[in-house]
Amino acid sequence: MLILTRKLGESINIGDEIKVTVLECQGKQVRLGIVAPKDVQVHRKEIYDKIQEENKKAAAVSKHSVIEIVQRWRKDERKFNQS
Amino acid sequence: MVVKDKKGAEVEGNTINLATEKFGEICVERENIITFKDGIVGFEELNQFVVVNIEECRPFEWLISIENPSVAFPIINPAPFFSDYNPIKSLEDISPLDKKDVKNIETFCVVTLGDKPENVTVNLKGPILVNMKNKTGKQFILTEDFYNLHHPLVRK
Repeated sequence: MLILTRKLGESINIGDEIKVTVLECQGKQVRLGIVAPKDVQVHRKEIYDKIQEENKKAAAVSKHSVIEIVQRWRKDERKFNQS
Repeated sequence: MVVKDKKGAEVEGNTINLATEKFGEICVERENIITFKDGIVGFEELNQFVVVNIEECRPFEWLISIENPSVAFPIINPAPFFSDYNPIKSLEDISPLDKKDVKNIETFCVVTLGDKPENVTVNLKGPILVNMKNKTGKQFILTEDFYNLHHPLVRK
């Protein structure tokens, strides 16, 4: 990992097109400004990690469990239609 | 003649046979294969998928990997459940998809199941957008805090 020290208002460039600027420092919080090309997605890492985790859980869902839910719904629908 | 591609999937003209883990062998039309240049979050190495609709699973559908057919995500079109949900509007840029082509773009959300059938949730935070015309797709991440990773899917 490359470690750089920056002062408030200073920036780092990543390649030609990405710029990260330190905007504000308060206690343990740092506000960063990021300039990047539109096709570069910038995310808080923990959100990206959670989506990754959710996708992995979803990939493990069986056809059987989906059918079970659908059958339950269809049954409720019939009950609803009869009443 | 049966030809096999480098991953071992059988190639026969316009269709491809996938040996899936969840559904056995299925046959998909080549023209329905969607390219995800960036893969799906956590599955970045997989770039080709197909949306498969199985009657007994409806309204859920499955996004199945061509390259690794044991990977299949249950997905759902969120529109009938969340009428206000509009990820295309929320995103500043949807490249490689194009906002101008909005009429060809379909939105899918990944489904996860709770311990009970009524605890089905959908991931509204990470919608999958697919241009059905040029067969290009991408999973996006919305920055708005009100979109939830586990939004309960309540049937209307």
